[in-house]
Amino acid sequence: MRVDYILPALEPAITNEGPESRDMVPSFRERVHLARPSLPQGWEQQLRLDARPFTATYIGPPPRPHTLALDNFQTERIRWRNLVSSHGAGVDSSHSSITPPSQPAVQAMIEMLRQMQAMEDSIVALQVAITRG
Amino acid sequence: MTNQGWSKEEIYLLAERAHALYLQGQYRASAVIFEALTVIDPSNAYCRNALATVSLALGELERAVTELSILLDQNPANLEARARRCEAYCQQGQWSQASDDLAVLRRNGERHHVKRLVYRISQAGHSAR
Repeated sequence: MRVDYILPALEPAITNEGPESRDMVPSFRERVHLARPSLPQGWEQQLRLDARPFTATYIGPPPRPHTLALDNFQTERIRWRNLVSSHGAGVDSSHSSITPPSQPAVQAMIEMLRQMQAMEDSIVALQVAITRG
Repeated sequence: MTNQGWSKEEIYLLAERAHALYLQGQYRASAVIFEALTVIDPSNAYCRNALATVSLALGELERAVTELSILLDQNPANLEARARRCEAYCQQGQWSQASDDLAVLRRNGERHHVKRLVYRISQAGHSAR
Protein backbone atom coordinates (compact mmCIF):
# COMPACT_ATOMS: atom_id res chain seq x y z
CA MET A 1 0.00 0.00 0.00
CA ARG A 2 1.34 3.41 -0.93
CA VAL A 3 1.03 6.15 1.67
CA ASP A 4 1.13 9.76 0.51
CA TYR A 5 2.55 11.90 3.28
CA ILE A 6 1.99 15.23 1.54
CA LEU A 7 -1.14 17.06 2.56
CA PRO A 8 -2.87 18.21 -0.65
CA ALA A 9 -3.50 21.70 0.68
CA LEU A 10 0.17 22.16 1.58
CA GLU A 11 1.65 20.64 -1.56
CA PRO A 12 3.96 23.20 -3.21
CA ALA A 13 3.00 23.90 -6.79
CA ILE A 14 5.69 23.86 -9.46
CA THR A 15 5.52 26.97 -11.55
CA ASN A 16 7.39 27.94 -14.68
CA GLU A 17 6.77 31.63 -14.28
CA GLY A 18 9.54 34.15 -14.71
CA PRO A 19 11.00 36.53 -12.12
CA GLU A 20 8.70 39.36 -13.22
CA SER A 21 5.67 37.49 -11.98
CA ARG A 22 7.15 36.68 -8.57
CA ASP A 23 5.40 39.62 -6.96
CA MET A 24 2.08 38.10 -7.90
CA VAL A 25 2.93 34.67 -6.56
CA PRO A 26 2.49 34.31 -2.81
CA SER A 27 5.53 33.16 -0.89
CA PHE A 28 5.72 29.77 0.74
CA ARG A 29 5.06 31.34 4.15
CA GLU A 30 1.93 33.01 2.80
CA ARG A 31 0.84 29.76 1.23
CA VAL A 32 1.21 27.99 4.55
CA HIS A 33 -0.82 30.68 6.30
CA LEU A 34 -3.43 30.77 3.57
CA ALA A 35 -3.86 27.07 3.33
CA ARG A 36 -5.92 25.94 6.27
CA PRO A 37 -7.01 22.42 5.56
CA SER A 38 -10.00 21.25 7.49
CA LEU A 39 -8.46 19.08 10.17
CA PRO A 40 -10.59 16.54 11.98
CA GLN A 41 -11.93 17.48 15.39
CA GLY A 42 -9.84 14.92 17.18
CA TRP A 43 -8.54 11.40 16.90
CA GLU A 44 -11.38 10.03 18.97
CA GLN A 45 -13.97 11.59 16.67
CA GLN A 46 -12.02 10.57 13.58
CA LEU A 47 -11.89 6.97 14.72
CA ARG A 48 -15.54 7.23 15.77
CA LEU A 49 -14.69 6.20 19.30
CA ASP A 50 -17.19 8.75 20.57
CA ALA A 51 -20.02 7.05 18.70
CA ARG A 52 -22.15 4.87 20.89
CA PRO A 53 -22.51 1.28 19.82
CA PHE A 54 -25.94 0.12 18.82
CA THR A 55 -26.24 -2.63 21.37
CA ALA A 56 -27.23 -2.28 24.99
CA THR A 57 -23.89 -3.57 26.20
CA TYR A 58 -22.42 -0.11 26.48
CA ILE A 59 -21.86 2.04 29.54
CA GLY A 60 -20.34 5.46 29.66
CA PRO A 61 -17.93 6.67 32.33
CA PRO A 62 -19.35 7.40 35.79
CA PRO A 63 -20.39 10.97 36.52
CA ARG A 64 -17.57 12.74 38.35
CA PRO A 65 -18.61 14.39 41.63
CA HIS A 66 -18.03 18.15 41.73
CA THR A 67 -16.16 17.87 45.01
CA LEU A 68 -13.46 15.71 43.45
CA ALA A 69 -10.78 17.90 41.94
CA LEU A 70 -8.85 16.86 38.86
CA ASP A 71 -5.43 15.91 40.18
CA ASN A 72 -2.30 14.61 38.64
CA PHE A 73 -1.52 10.95 38.28
CA GLN A 74 0.57 10.77 41.44
CA THR A 75 -2.17 12.22 43.64
CA GLU A 76 -4.73 9.91 42.09
CA ARG A 77 -2.48 6.94 42.81
CA ILE A 78 -2.01 7.92 46.45
CA ARG A 79 -5.74 8.46 46.85
CA TRP A 80 -6.41 5.06 45.33
CA ARG A 81 -3.90 3.35 47.62
CA ASN A 82 -5.41 5.04 50.66
CA LEU A 83 -8.85 3.88 49.63
CA VAL A 84 -7.86 0.24 49.39
CA SER A 85 -5.69 0.25 52.50
CA SER A 86 -8.22 2.05 54.72
CA HIS A 87 -11.21 -0.06 53.74
CA GLY A 88 -9.19 -3.22 53.43
CA ALA A 89 -7.70 -2.89 56.91
CA GLY A 90 -10.73 -4.41 58.52
CA VAL A 91 -10.80 -7.48 56.33
CA ASP A 92 -7.90 -9.36 57.89
CA SER A 93 -7.25 -7.39 61.05
CA SER A 94 -9.53 -7.96 64.01
CA HIS A 95 -7.77 -5.20 65.98
CA SER A 96 -8.54 -2.48 63.50
CA SER A 97 -10.79 0.38 64.54
CA ILE A 98 -12.35 0.43 61.08
CA THR A 99 -15.50 -1.61 60.77
CA PRO A 100 -14.83 -4.51 58.41
CA PRO A 101 -17.10 -4.77 55.40
CA SER A 102 -19.88 -7.07 56.47
CA GLN A 103 -21.21 -7.86 53.01
CA PRO A 104 -19.52 -10.68 51.06
CA ALA A 105 -19.68 -8.66 47.85
CA VAL A 106 -17.73 -5.82 49.44
CA GLN A 107 -15.21 -8.24 50.93
CA ALA A 108 -14.72 -9.86 47.54
CA MET A 109 -14.15 -6.47 45.94
CA ILE A 110 -11.62 -5.41 48.57
CA GLU A 111 -9.74 -8.68 48.24
CA MET A 112 -9.64 -8.37 44.46
CA LEU A 113 -8.44 -4.76 44.65
CA ARG A 114 -5.69 -5.72 47.09
CA GLN A 115 -4.50 -8.42 44.73
CA MET A 116 -4.55 -5.93 41.85
CA GLN A 117 -2.57 -3.46 43.91
CA ALA A 118 -0.02 -6.09 44.86
CA MET A 119 0.43 -6.90 41.17
CA GLU A 120 0.79 -3.21 40.32
CA ASP A 121 3.36 -2.80 43.09
CA SER A 122 5.36 -5.76 41.85
CA ILE A 123 5.38 -4.33 38.32
CA VAL A 124 6.55 -0.94 39.61
CA ALA A 125 9.23 -2.60 41.74
CA LEU A 126 10.42 -4.57 38.73
CA GLN A 127 10.58 -1.43 36.59
CA VAL A 128 12.57 0.39 39.29
CA ALA A 129 14.96 -2.55 39.57
CA ILE A 130 15.47 -2.61 35.81
CA THR A 131 15.99 1.16 35.67
CA ARG A 132 18.59 1.07 38.45
CA GLY A 133 20.30 -1.91 36.90
CA MET B 1 -20.73 9.79 53.49
CA THR B 2 -22.95 7.10 52.05
CA ASN B 3 -23.60 3.64 53.43
CA GLN B 4 -20.92 1.80 55.41
CA GLY B 5 -18.56 4.74 55.63
CA TRP B 6 -17.87 5.15 51.94
CA SER B 7 -17.74 8.67 50.57
CA LYS B 8 -19.09 9.74 47.18
CA GLU B 9 -15.55 10.34 45.99
CA GLU B 10 -14.52 6.80 46.94
CA ILE B 11 -17.54 5.37 45.15
CA TYR B 12 -16.62 7.39 42.09
CA LEU B 13 -13.02 6.14 42.15
CA LEU B 14 -14.24 2.55 42.36
CA ALA B 15 -16.80 3.07 39.60
CA GLU B 16 -14.13 4.64 37.44
CA ARG B 17 -11.85 1.64 37.99
CA ALA B 18 -14.70 -0.75 37.22
CA HIS B 19 -15.50 1.17 34.06
CA ALA B 20 -11.86 0.98 32.99
CA LEU B 21 -11.90 -2.78 33.55
CA TYR B 22 -15.10 -2.99 31.51
CA LEU B 23 -13.44 -1.11 28.64
CA GLN B 24 -10.52 -3.54 28.80
CA GLY B 25 -12.93 -6.44 28.46
CA GLN B 26 -12.35 -7.65 32.02
CA TYR B 27 -16.04 -8.07 32.63
CA ARG B 28 -15.75 -10.43 35.60
CA ALA B 29 -13.53 -8.07 37.59
CA SER B 30 -15.71 -5.13 36.59
CA ALA B 31 -18.80 -6.98 37.79
CA VAL B 32 -17.19 -7.68 41.17
CA ILE B 33 -16.68 -3.95 41.78
CA PHE B 34 -20.07 -2.88 40.46
CA GLU B 35 -21.79 -5.54 42.54
CA ALA B 36 -20.07 -4.28 45.68
CA LEU B 37 -21.01 -0.73 44.79
CA THR B 38 -24.68 -1.65 44.51
CA VAL B 39 -24.39 -3.06 48.05
CA ILE B 40 -22.59 0.04 49.34
CA ASP B 41 -24.94 2.48 47.59
CA PRO B 42 -28.17 0.68 46.57
CA SER B 43 -29.73 3.84 45.14
CA ASN B 44 -26.82 4.51 42.78
CA ALA B 45 -28.49 4.18 39.38
CA TYR B 46 -25.25 4.34 37.41
CA CYS B 47 -23.65 1.43 39.26
CA ARG B 48 -26.74 -0.77 39.03
CA ASN B 49 -27.15 0.03 35.34
CA ALA B 50 -23.47 -0.72 34.80
CA LEU B 51 -23.75 -4.01 36.70
CA ALA B 52 -26.67 -5.01 34.48
CA THR B 53 -24.71 -4.07 31.38
CA VAL B 54 -21.66 -6.06 32.43
CA SER B 55 -23.96 -8.98 33.26
CA LEU B 56 -25.32 -8.76 29.72
CA ALA B 57 -21.79 -8.81 28.39
CA LEU B 58 -21.07 -11.89 30.52
CA GLY B 59 -24.20 -13.59 29.25
CA GLU B 60 -25.81 -13.56 32.70
CA LEU B 61 -29.20 -12.54 31.41
CA GLU B 62 -31.26 -13.31 34.50
CA ARG B 63 -28.95 -11.23 36.64
CA ALA B 64 -29.21 -8.36 34.17
CA VAL B 65 -33.00 -8.52 34.13
CA THR B 66 -33.11 -8.58 37.94
CA GLU B 67 -30.88 -5.53 38.30
CA LEU B 68 -32.70 -3.62 35.58
CA SER B 69 -36.06 -4.46 37.14
CA ILE B 70 -34.86 -3.04 40.47
CA LEU B 71 -33.71 0.05 38.63
CA LEU B 72 -37.07 0.43 36.88
CA ASP B 73 -38.92 -0.07 40.16
CA GLN B 74 -36.94 2.87 41.53
CA ASN B 75 -37.47 4.96 38.41
CA PRO B 76 -39.89 3.73 35.72
CA ALA B 77 -38.91 6.66 33.48
CA ASN B 78 -35.35 5.36 33.05
CA LEU B 79 -35.54 4.63 29.32
CA GLU B 80 -31.93 3.51 29.08
CA ALA B 81 -32.58 0.78 31.64
CA ARG B 82 -35.81 -0.20 29.89
CA ALA B 83 -34.04 -0.53 26.56
CA ARG B 84 -31.42 -2.74 28.17
CA ARG B 85 -34.08 -4.91 29.79
CA CYS B 86 -35.87 -5.18 26.46
CA GLU B 87 -32.61 -6.37 24.92
CA ALA B 88 -32.09 -8.86 27.74
CA TYR B 89 -35.62 -10.19 27.26
CA CYS B 90 -34.90 -10.56 23.54
CA GLN B 91 -31.78 -12.56 24.31
CA GLN B 92 -33.78 -14.73 26.70
CA GLY B 93 -36.46 -15.24 24.08
CA GLN B 94 -39.11 -13.69 26.30
CA TRP B 95 -40.72 -11.83 23.44
CA SER B 96 -43.89 -10.84 25.24
CA GLN B 97 -42.01 -8.98 27.98
CA ALA B 98 -39.70 -7.50 25.38
CA SER B 99 -42.69 -6.17 23.43
CA ASP B 100 -44.11 -4.62 26.60
CA ASP B 101 -40.86 -2.76 27.28
CA LEU B 102 -40.62 -1.74 23.65
CA ALA B 103 -44.13 -0.32 23.76
CA VAL B 104 -43.16 1.86 26.72
CA LEU B 105 -40.05 3.03 24.88
CA ARG B 106 -42.07 3.96 21.80
CA ARG B 107 -44.71 5.78 23.83
CA ASN B 108 -41.99 7.88 25.43
CA GLY B 109 -40.28 8.74 22.16
CA GLU B 110 -37.03 6.86 22.74
CA ARG B 111 -35.11 6.85 19.46
CA HIS B 112 -31.69 5.41 20.04
CA HIS B 113 -32.71 1.77 20.55
CA VAL B 114 -36.28 1.53 19.28
CA LYS B 115 -35.61 0.83 15.61
CA ARG B 116 -33.13 -1.91 16.38
CA LEU B 117 -35.37 -3.53 18.96
CA VAL B 118 -38.42 -3.35 16.66
CA TYR B 119 -36.42 -5.06 13.95
CA ARG B 120 -35.15 -7.69 16.36
CA ILE B 121 -38.58 -8.53 17.74
CA SER B 122 -40.10 -8.53 14.26
CA GLN B 123 -37.37 -10.85 13.03
CA ALA B 124 -38.33 -13.30 15.73
CA GLY B 125 -41.84 -13.38 14.31
CA HIS B 126 -43.45 -11.37 17.07
CA SER B 127 -45.39 -8.18 16.65
CA ALA B 128 -43.74 -5.09 18.11
CA ARG B 129 -46.56 -3.21 19.74
